[in-house]
Amino acid sequence: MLELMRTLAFRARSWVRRGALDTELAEEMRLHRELLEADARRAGLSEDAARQAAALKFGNATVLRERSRDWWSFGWLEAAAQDVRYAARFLRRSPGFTVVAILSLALGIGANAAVFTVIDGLLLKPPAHIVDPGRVVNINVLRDYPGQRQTPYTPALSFGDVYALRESATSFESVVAFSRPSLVRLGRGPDAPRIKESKVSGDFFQVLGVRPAAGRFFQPEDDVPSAERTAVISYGFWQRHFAGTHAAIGSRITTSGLDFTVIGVAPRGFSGVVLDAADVWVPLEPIGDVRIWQNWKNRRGFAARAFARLRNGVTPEAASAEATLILQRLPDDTARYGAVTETVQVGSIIPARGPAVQGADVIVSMRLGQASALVLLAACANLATLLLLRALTRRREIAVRMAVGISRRRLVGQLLLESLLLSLAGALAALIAARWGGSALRGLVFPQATWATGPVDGRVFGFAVLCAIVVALLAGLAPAVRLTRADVAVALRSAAPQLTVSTGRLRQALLVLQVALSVVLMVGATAFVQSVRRAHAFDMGYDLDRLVVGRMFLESDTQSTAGRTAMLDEAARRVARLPGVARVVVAPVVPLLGSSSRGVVLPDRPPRPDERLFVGVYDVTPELIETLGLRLVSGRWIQSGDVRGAPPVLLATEEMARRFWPGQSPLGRCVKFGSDTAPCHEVVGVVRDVRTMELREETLPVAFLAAAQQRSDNSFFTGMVVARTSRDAEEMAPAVRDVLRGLHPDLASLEIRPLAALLEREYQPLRLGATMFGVFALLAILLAGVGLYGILAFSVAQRTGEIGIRTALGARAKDLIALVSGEAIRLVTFGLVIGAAASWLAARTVEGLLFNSSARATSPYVIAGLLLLAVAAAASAVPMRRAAKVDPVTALRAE
Amino acid sequence: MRDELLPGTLDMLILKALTLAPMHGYAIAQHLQQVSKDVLRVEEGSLYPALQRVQAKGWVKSEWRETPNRRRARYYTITAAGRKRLGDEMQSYQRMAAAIQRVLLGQKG
Repeated sequence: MLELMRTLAFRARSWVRRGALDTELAEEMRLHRELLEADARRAGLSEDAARQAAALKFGNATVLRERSRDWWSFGWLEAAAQDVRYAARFLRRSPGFTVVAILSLALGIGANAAVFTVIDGLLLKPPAHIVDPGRVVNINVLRDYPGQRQTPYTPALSFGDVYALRESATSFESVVAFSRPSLVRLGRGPDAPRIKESKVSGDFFQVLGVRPAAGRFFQPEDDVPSAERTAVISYGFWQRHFAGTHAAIGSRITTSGLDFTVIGVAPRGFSGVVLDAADVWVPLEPIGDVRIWQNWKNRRGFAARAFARLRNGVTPEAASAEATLILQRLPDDTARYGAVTETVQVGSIIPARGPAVQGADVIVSMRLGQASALVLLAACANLATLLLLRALTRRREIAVRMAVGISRRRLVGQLLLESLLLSLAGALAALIAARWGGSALRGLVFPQATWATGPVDGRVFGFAVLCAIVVALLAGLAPAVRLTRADVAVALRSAAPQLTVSTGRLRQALLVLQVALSVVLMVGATAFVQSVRRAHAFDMGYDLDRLVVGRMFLESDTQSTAGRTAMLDEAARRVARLPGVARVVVAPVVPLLGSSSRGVVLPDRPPRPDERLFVGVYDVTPELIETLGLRLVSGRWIQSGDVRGAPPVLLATEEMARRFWPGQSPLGRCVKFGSDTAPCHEVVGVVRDVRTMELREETLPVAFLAAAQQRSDNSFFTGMVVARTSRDAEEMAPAVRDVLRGLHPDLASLEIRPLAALLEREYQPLRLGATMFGVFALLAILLAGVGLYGILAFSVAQRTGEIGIRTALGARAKDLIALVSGEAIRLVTFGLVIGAAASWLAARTVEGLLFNSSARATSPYVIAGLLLLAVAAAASAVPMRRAAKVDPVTALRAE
Repeated sequence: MRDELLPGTLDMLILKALTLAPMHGYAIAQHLQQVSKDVLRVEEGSLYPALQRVQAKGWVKSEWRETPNRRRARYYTITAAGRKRLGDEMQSYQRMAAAIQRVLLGQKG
């Protein structure tokens, strides 16, 4: 080590005065030779002979000086600098090649960097501002309902569970409860904006080790039931609402009817242990029974989440085991849930590492990561092709350099350096692209998240550079090795650039790879596009378009049922007067906004043991049926005659008929609600299936009952106004809002929504998949097209002589095109087959993300195949034309 | 063809020579020739890259002085690190030589 330092110091010193040293060395050597000459003369040789003898004895002075100089410099470093200059000069000399190569790399690396900006924040990094995040764990629970079902690990648990762990678990320094951010109204009145509120234990910030940006965080005494209500606000909310001034501390805000005193501001980008950031955090105890529910600490309902800090030396496994034991010892409400077995597993707060099932956004991002890696691979293949083609025109140059004695290793290094320079330039362009691409993508994938950093940070930069190096090696190594294997003598002897090449096989393989990658991405894109189309076209059982629903809530829910009914009726009257509204009805709830679920007994179909049948239930009137536009399959509608006193009736959905009376007519059947002793409801009609909550749910059995035959106060729902408009619902919503704003002096909230808009949230991951896979597929196809064009153009140029001879011998344009395109067709077909096989195998990974579509259906493959053939045809058009136009005389003269 | 020296041998020969007195390049060459009785026929110029090497390693220092014949020459002096190195090398060489001798001549012990 010491010696190495000394050597480096010597080299540095010598390098500084290398000019002087050189002179000195020359002088030293001259002296040496003169003394040798003098010796020789003394031995009796003549002047000339003496000089010769001395020179012989001394050796080749030039070489020896050269070797001495090696010690005055940083040999390889200077050689590298020289190589960089050389490579840069080469790239500058062929701008066309350079630009195409950099662009295709910028696309490949840019796609990856953009996806990485999302994945890194979403999956790989612990949330920001947490001290020692490695010891902070999420608490996940797996619930086993014996004989019924087993839920996977979820982070949702009851506040009762968390409090039990908080009190008795010794594995943790502390267990912290919090609720997922939920929307609350800020201020009063129907137009109050919504902000996100998270209810947290008093030591929430303290356990994470966060420091406030202003003010203070909660103390233990802020989290007791009798405490004054306090709130910590997010940095973003501070900026928006208080313009970032310190007047915020101590001021009061009202959210959904409760006043809070702002005591502190969280640092910028802080979002707790989840990405879904709150605007305000408030202690649980003072508001739990108002904001969550009465007896919110019992074990019903899983509204809580929890994280904990592991005590030093405690393993996650030990902590999980202890927590499991604590939960299993808790008294349980077995009557309600049956004997549930809960197993706890603590997991990393880095999302990709936790045991819990992951949200669609997370899974979509991971698939996007894989898809973008394919794009990068395609870009690699493209660069390799370009380098190979480029290399062929440089064979003489390379041969000359090898002939003058440059080592093969150095030459390969130089060639690799060229591809590295290219890919670094590509990475730079990619980062510029990722700057806006990443922001766009973040908004697209996870709009509700708070990002602690801009899209391009040090990690993304590092990632892009890493990509560039990998690309340079992947794409550059094979061509460089191939190229330097050339036979120097042969290459130098031929006057024209030597065209008989050993690179053909490699180039073909690369093209096949590119086509195959394009197919995989195309199939994915097609499947997603199909999903989007099918989701939009999906029959929801009633006519969603031009339907607006309005729900209204008062500041305090003290309204009587009669008062509420009167308010809803008045609301309906006001909406009905609006131009553009065709019909208005009041309904407890409509499909897609939830349903009540009731147990049923079927007298003509005795239940299997342990079997309990449930149906979703909606109370409807003939007016509501007509307004919604339910569709009758068989039987009759509920009519105005179906009133209390008349025989109770219901409409069953097709799914209900299928499940309960498979293969038989459901009409006239008896359905009893609740118990065997309840009165019969006769099935009088069958309607199309509806969705109760969301598009992606499994189709549930649903019954529509005559509202007039039901007790009106049994509804869990508070009622809503449903309007069918004759104009676009999106346009009508503000007008509906305007007429309802003055409905009641105490009106706290007005939810006016076009029903179709509810589905937007569900279309979004599908659209994301379609967009990104589509973009990636286009990139890959573009790259494949460029690659194919390059190969064909080259092949035509290479075979100009042969084509000339054939033309001279009478071959027609058709024959020539067949000659040239034969190879292209073979390669593209081969690539198609491989790509199709790969897609088939990879299809399972996106299956859960698609809607009513499959990446194994025939159509994506057909579409991908046709598109690629079209691109291949377009890419070959120009080279083909050139082949057909070869003038035999010119071609042969050139030989 | 000339006899090639084992790598590193020249360095050691130079260090050994310099333990006698500071010398310039020509003197080192003369010395090597005398003590090796012309067995080691090295191009004398090869000394110079080797002299750079041993200086870079910190085993040898150099300075310009006048020769007894009043000519300017660069004199090389062995350093403490150089002496230590030479000692180490000699020890390991002796061990090696003894081992080779045992093997080649079949001597025991």
